[in-house]
Amino acid sequence: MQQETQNTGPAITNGNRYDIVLTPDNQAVLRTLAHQNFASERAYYLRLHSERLSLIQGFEELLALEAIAVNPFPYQTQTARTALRRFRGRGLLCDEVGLGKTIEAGLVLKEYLLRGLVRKVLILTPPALVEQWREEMASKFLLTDFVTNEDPQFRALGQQAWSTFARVIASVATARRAEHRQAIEKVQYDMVIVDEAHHLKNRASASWKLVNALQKKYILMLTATPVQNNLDELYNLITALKPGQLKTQREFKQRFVVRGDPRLPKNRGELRALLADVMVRNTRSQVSIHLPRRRAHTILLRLTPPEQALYDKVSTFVREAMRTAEAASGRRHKGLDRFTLQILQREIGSSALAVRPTLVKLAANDGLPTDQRATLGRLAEQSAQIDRLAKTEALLKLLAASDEKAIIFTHFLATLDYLAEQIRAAGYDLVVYRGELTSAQKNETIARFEREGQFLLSTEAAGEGRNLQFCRRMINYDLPWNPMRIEQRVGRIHRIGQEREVEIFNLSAEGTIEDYILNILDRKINLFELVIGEMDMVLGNLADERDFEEIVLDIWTRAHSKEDLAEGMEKLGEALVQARQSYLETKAYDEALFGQDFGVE
Amino acid sequence: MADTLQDFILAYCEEVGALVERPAYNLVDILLPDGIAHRLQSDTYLRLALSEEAAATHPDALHLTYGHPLLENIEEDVRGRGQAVHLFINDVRLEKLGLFEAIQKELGLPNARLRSQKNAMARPQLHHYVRFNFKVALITDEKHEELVSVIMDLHSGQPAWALEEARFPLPLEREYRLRPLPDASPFWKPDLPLLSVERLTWLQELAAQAVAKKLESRIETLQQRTGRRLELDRARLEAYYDDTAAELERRIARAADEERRRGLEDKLVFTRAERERKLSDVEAKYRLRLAMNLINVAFITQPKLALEASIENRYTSIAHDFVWDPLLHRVEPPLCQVCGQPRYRLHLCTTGHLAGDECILYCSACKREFCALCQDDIGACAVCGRSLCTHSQIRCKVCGRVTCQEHVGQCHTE
Repeated sequence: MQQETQNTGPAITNGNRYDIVLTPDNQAVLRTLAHQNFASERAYYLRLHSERLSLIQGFEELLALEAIAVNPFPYQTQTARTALRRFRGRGLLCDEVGLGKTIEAGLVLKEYLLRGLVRKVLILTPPALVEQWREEMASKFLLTDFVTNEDPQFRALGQQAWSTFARVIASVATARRAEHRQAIEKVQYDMVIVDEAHHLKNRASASWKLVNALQKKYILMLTATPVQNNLDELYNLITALKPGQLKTQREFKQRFVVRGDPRLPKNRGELRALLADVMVRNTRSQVSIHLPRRRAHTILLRLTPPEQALYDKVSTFVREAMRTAEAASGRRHKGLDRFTLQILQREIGSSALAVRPTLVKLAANDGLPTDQRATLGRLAEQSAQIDRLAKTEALLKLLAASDEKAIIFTHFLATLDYLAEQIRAAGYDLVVYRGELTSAQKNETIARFEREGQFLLSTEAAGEGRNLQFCRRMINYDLPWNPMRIEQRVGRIHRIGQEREVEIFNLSAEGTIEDYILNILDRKINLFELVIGEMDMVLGNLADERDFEEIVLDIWTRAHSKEDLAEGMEKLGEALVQARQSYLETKAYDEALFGQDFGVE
Repeated sequence: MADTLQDFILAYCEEVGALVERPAYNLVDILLPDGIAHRLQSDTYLRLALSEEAAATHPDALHLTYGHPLLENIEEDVRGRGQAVHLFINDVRLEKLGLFEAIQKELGLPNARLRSQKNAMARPQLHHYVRFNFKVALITDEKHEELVSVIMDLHSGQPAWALEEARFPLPLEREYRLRPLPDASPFWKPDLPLLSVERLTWLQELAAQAVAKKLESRIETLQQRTGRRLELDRARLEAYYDDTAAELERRIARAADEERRRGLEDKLVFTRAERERKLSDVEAKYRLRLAMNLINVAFITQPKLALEASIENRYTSIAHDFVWDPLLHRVEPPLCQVCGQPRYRLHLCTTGHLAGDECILYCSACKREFCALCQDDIGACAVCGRSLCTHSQIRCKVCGRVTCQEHVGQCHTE
C-alpha cells in the first residue's frame, strides 16, 4: 500500500516571485560526473531524446487516455478536459445517472497524477460505495494502491492513517466523526473527490462543514441530482466548491430565487453563466446514448417437499440463532455470528448443495455450543438426502425452450458445479466462468462462449467488468440480496453495444426470502426496467441508511409468522416506492432547472 | 539528433546492440539481445508499428505508442544510461601573438594599470565546463515542461553565456587529441576539488538560477496569466467573506439576547479565520514552482591560454592570471571578487581586491577605494553617514563614535 513520500528538494525562493525546486534525484547524476563514470555520446543523446518524447504541455492532449483500461466516450473525455482546463480542477459533475461520472472523475484524477500535479488524494463516498470506488479505480484506471478506512492497516494507525496514506477512499460518515475530522483537516490534499455530493446540500450538516474545511487544491463533486428540494441546496453545493461564486446567501436569494418560492429561479441567464464556470451536466439525449428495452420474467416455482422442509428448518435455525446473537449483543457470545447466519440463509436460497458444505463445517466447529452443532449436523444430513432440485428442473425446461445464447448466474460454487454437471448431462454446450480463472483463461472462456458456446454458467465474477452484450438473455438461478449486484449482472448484457431487447429470467421459489425481494424489486419498483444507475439513486433515498441486505435479513429474522414477514416486506416495499417517487420528483425538478444547458456536447 | 519515436527506437537499438530491419515506413523488426529483452520484459523478437497507419496496415505488429508499457520500459532502461558524457573541444589554436596587448585593450582599470611580467609566457591549460540538461516543469495549477540546458564554467561558477550565444555549433568530440595539459585552478571555491560532489552541487544551484533567467519571459507570461486568475479568485473570496462578515456584524448589532450574540460572534471569528485559510489556499495553488529535474550532464574540456600580469596602483600591486579563449577569440573577463560577476572594467581596491563599479566604495575624505570585502577597513561618519576609511576616521574621545573632519565633536550632541 502506498505510503506518503517526499520527492522534492528544498525550494530556492526567488525574491518571492517563484520557487525553484531541485529534485533530490539530481544528486545521482552529479555523483556519476564526480566519479567520472562517463557514458557514450550516443547514450547521452538518447537520454535527452527520451525526455523530449515525454514532455508535457497543456491539457490539450490528455495523457491519461493511453494509461487507463477503459475506453471513455467522447463526452466523458470532453468533460474531463472541461474540468481540467475551464474549471481548473474545481468542478461539479452532474451527469444524469448511468452516464459515467466516475469515469470522468477518474480521468481527471489520472491526468493530474500522471502530470505530477497531484499526490495526496481523498475520495469521500457513501459507505456502500467505498469498495466499489476502490474496484473501479483499480480495474479502470490502474490505480491499485488506494486504501480504505475499513482496511486493517488503516484502522491500526488510527487518526495518523489520514496523513500516512497518500490515496484514501473513505466514507463521509467516518470522516466527519469528531475524532477523525481534526486529523483530516490538518492534511494538505492535492485532490478531493466527493461522490453523491447532494448529501452536502445543507450547510449546517457535518458533511458540508467537513468538505468546506478540507485543505485542497482540486475538488470534484459528483451528483446526478444537485438540487432536490430548493435552490438553497444548489447554493450550498457551489459554495462548498467555490466560495463566493454565487455571492452571499442573501444576495443569491435576492438575485436568483423567486420571492415566496424557494424552488423557482429567476435571472436564469445570469445564473446559468455563473454555474457554467463550475458545472457540467450531460444528459442522455444530448450524448445520444440509447439502449434497447429490458424485460424481466419471473418463474415462480414450488420447492420439492424435502427442499421445502430443509429450507424451513434452516430458516428457523437462522432466526433463533440471530435472536440469540442479538440478545447477547456486547457480551461474549459463543454462537454463530450475524455474517455466518446471513451466508447460511443465502446458501439455502440457492440450493441444498450450496448450504451443505457450510453446515458440515459448522457442525464440526468445536467453538460452537453443542446444541447448535447438533442441529447443524442434522441439517447437514438432511441436505445430503435431497436428490431433486425444483429450480434445476425449471432451469432445464427454460433452456430447452430456446436455442439462443444465455448467461446463467449463480452466486455459489457448489450450486455452479452441480448445475454444470446437469446442463452438460442434458447435452448442452456449456462454458463455465469462475472467479479463480486466470485473466487469460477468463478471456478465452468468454471468447469461446461468443464463438460457439450456447450457455455461459457463471458466478458473480462475470458480473464484474465483462462486456457480454453479444448475448441478450440472462437467467438468475439465484438472486443476490443486494439490488446493486443484480444491476451489475444485468449490466453485462444491457449496455452500449446491445442492439436487441434484453430478457431477464428470475427463478424464484415461493415463500423464500428471494421471492419477497423479487416481489419488492420487480413488482413494486420495476428494478429491471430502471435505467442503469437509478437503483443506486433510489436506495440512496431510503431513510434507513443500512445496507439493503441487512434490512432484509432483519425483517426476515424478526418475523414470528408469515403475516409478520409479509407486513415487514410490504413496508420495505412501500419505503422503496416512496424513495423512487422522491427520486423521480428530484429528477424532474433538475431537468426543469438545468435543461440541457450544461452539457459538453 | 533524433526527433521522432522511430528515431528514438532505432537509436536505442543501436545502443544496446539489437539487430534491426525496416521492412516498411514506421515498421521495424528488432532482434534484442537476451539480457536486454529480459530487462524490458519482452520477447527477443519484436515487430513494432510506430504509427497508426503502420499499425492498421500490419495488424501483426505491436503498435508502440506513448504510454505503452514497452516504451516505458525502454525509457526506464535509457534513464539508467547516459547520465554523464565527457566531450572535448580540440579544434583550437593554442598560441596568441600579442596576448598582453589584447588583454590591455579589453581591460578597463580606472584606478590602476596593467604591467606585463618579465619572462611571463602564455601557458596552455585545460578549462572545464559542465552543461546541465534540465527538464523544467513550470507548475502552478497546471504544468508545462521544457528541456532547458545551460553551460556553466566550473572554474568561475558562472554561466558561459558567450559559449551558449556563439554563432557556430560547438566542435565537440568524443576523444581528446591534443598533448597532455594541466588543469587550470578554479578561482571560485578554490578549496574544493574540481570534480567534487560538493562543487557540483553548488554549481547546480547556480545553473538552476541561470536556467530561470533563461526562462524569464516565459515565467513572466505565465505569472501574468496566473496572476489574473489569482486576482479574480482572491477578489471573489474577499468579497464573499467580507460581505458575510458584514452581515454577521449587522445581526450581532440587532441580536436580542446575549447567548445569540455570543453565537454570532463565534461565527464571525470562524468566518474571518476561514477567509484567511481560503486565501492562503488559493495563493498556494497559483504560486509558480520551477521543478528542475537534471536529466544528464556533459563535461566539456577546452584548452585555453593563461598569462600572468600585474595590476598596480600607488597603494598596492597584485598578480593576476588572465585567460585567452582560443575558441571564442577573446580575453575572458575577470571576475569581480565581491559579487563574482565577470567584468572587463575593474577597480583595484586599496587592499588588493579586484571589484566592479557596483562593488567599490570610496572614502569621502582621502578618495581611496575599498570594496565590500574590506569591511574592516571602512566605516561611516556617525553624523553625515559618508564612507570613511580607517585612516580618515576621527574617533570621538567622549562617545567613541567616528566622524569625518567636518563633524568632529557633533556625534554626541544629538
